[in-house]
Amino acid sequence: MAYISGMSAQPAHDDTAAPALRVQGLRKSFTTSEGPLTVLDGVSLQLERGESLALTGESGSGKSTLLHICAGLEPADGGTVEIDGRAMSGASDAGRAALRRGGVGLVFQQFNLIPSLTVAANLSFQARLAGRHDPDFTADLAARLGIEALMRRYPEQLSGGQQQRVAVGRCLAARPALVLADEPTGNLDEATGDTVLDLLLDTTSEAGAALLLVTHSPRLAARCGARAHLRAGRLDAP
Amino acid sequence: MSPATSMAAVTLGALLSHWRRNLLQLAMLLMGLALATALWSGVQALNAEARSAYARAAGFLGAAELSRLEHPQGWVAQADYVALRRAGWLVSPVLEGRADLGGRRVTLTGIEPLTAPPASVAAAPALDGPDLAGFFGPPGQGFAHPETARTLEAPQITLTADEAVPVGTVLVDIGVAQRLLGAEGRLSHLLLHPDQPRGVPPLETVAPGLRLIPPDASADLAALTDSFHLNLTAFGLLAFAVGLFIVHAAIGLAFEQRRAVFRTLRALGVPLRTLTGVLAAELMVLALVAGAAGLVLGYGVAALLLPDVAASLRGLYGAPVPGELGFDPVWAGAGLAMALGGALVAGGRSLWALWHLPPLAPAQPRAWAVASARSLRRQAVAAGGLGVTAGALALWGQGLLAGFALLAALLLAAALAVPPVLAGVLALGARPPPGPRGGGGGAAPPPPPPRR
Ligand SMILES: Nc1ncnc2c1ncn2[C@@H]1O[C@H](COP(=O)(O)OP(=O)(O)O)[C@@H](O)[C@H]1O
Ligand SMILES: [Mg+2]
Repeated sequence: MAYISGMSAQPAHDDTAAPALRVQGLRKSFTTSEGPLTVLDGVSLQLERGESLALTGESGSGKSTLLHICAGLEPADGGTVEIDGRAMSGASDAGRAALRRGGVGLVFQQFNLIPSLTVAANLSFQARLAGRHDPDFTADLAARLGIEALMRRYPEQLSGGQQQRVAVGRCLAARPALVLADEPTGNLDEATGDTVLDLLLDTTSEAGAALLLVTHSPRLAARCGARAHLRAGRLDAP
Repeated sequence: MSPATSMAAVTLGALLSHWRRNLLQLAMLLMGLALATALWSGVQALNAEARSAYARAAGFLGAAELSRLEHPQGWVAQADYVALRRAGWLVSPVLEGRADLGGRRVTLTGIEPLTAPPASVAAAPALDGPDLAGFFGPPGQGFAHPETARTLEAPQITLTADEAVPVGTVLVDIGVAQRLLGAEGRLSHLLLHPDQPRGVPPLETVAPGLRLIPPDASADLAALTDSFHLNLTAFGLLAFAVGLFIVHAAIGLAFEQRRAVFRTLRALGVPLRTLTGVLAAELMVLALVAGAAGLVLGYGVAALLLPDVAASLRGLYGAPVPGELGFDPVWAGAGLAMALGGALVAGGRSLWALWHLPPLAPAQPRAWAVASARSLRRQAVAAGGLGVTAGALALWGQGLLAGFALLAALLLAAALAVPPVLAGVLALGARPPPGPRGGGGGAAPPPPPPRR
């Protein structure tokens, strides 16, 4: 069970294995034209491998900001982030990049495939970057995601749903401890989004990775193992 | 392969794949850089060839090191030469003149190898050889630059090719020269050995008509032709600058198109340092390819132009420039360095922008717009400054260099001014038309000032 501040006590777990994600006391505010805007005000959460957590919240409540800080793409004002027991907060750019490469898979709303690479090259890209490309594993993953017939195409020749499947495969092929997905179905129609999300949930748990999923939809959130709602900079039960 | 190099290789592969899918852009970039390199290095090749020809002419027969005796009225009488030798003066006769040899007009230079000072002989090493007998005796032997020797059919003498002789000159024994020029008993001047024996009678008593001329400063072709070469260099540099603008545009466009890819790469775990390094490496690879092509092209252009340039130089200044191009590895290296440097200059802005590119797309496009407006403003200011410089040069500048700087300033200013002007025009078009919204006849309230 995922641990979320303000919801339950920290569950007992195998102390030898570090959680895939541990966030403690995260604070973040932005300076805007209307003055300082506090987006995260003491957020803590913990995710073990194989667990999934749906994060909901109104638009502008700071969901993306939380994910970006977890991925080391944005600095926090306070608090700590650990991926698989290694500190993301406080690391150098190169250190954060290394943690992302080997430990974090990102799935974006806009898919963010590399347009000049084929599906096959996109699929194995992060795994190659991380130096752990396994052709058999990637081929199985492609079959599981139903994109094995598309390998020679370019992203522009795919539908949105197909592109997002490739993006899911790209992050899982690198076998990350943690998958961060920011409204991955936001650009897809409902039926396609459901299919892709099913695949994301199934393949992530099969791969034994933790999943932090940002979504607006309570229906999609219901499919995750746990749910949390971001409101006024804090996490509570939905 | 180490993890770091394999990561860099994977990243480089992703960046290079962009060009495979955008061949026209690649062609523009490579052609711009190749043409820039070609024109610049072609001009350098022409200049270098001409300059080495001047140096050869200046050093020929020790003209730059030896004093000489001349007669103000032109000819030195052979009798004066004999008198000086008898008095102990170490002098050696030279006769120069234009002659028709085998249908071609050449400069005939006659010398006497036995008395010629070492400095002059050093400039014509063939004279050190064993066949001095052939040099004196009929029909007489002549030395000429390979290019001259090849085109010359002279039954009067047997010709030997020698690189040390300036183009268009034939070096013969003084007797042969007097015969061929119809100048028996006459000499052009006498070369003076640097070490004269002590106690020789003064020149005024032995040969009062002759005058001592210090080592040659007069025939300084390099100085004479300087403006010609500056012209060429300026042309080459301008062509290079224009080429760089094409390259700058191509690189800038590719950067803008790949902005999202750069962000994705960073999100996938490519460190900023690696990404910037790989982008610089990509630039270097492209520059080397284009630079090599540019060198080949530049050599071709120079080889094609050299006969005409040589003809102009001969016609304008009487400079003995050969019509054939040599190959100099230093020249090739300099050309490649120019291509690499040029690519770095053209891509510098993009590299800088990448180094400062936030890993996340801005949540508020406003922030980007403000930053972009600031850079446009800086560009406009730079363009204005260059325009003022150009104006000042036009008003007060003098000479070729100023003209060249004026052209360069104008060109740069125009290139820098295009984006801000374009943005301004677009902004004007985007402004909503004045409508009844504001109410009454009063002016609409001013928009809030941009916050930084
Ligand atoms: N770089 C930034 N500068 C200023 N404000 C920002 C920046 N990034 C996000 N914000 C603001 O922080 C708040 C949270 O944004 P975000 O995390 O994207 O929300 P969500 O993903 O929940 O919709 C929003 O009000 C947004 O405008
Ligand atoms: Mg968001």
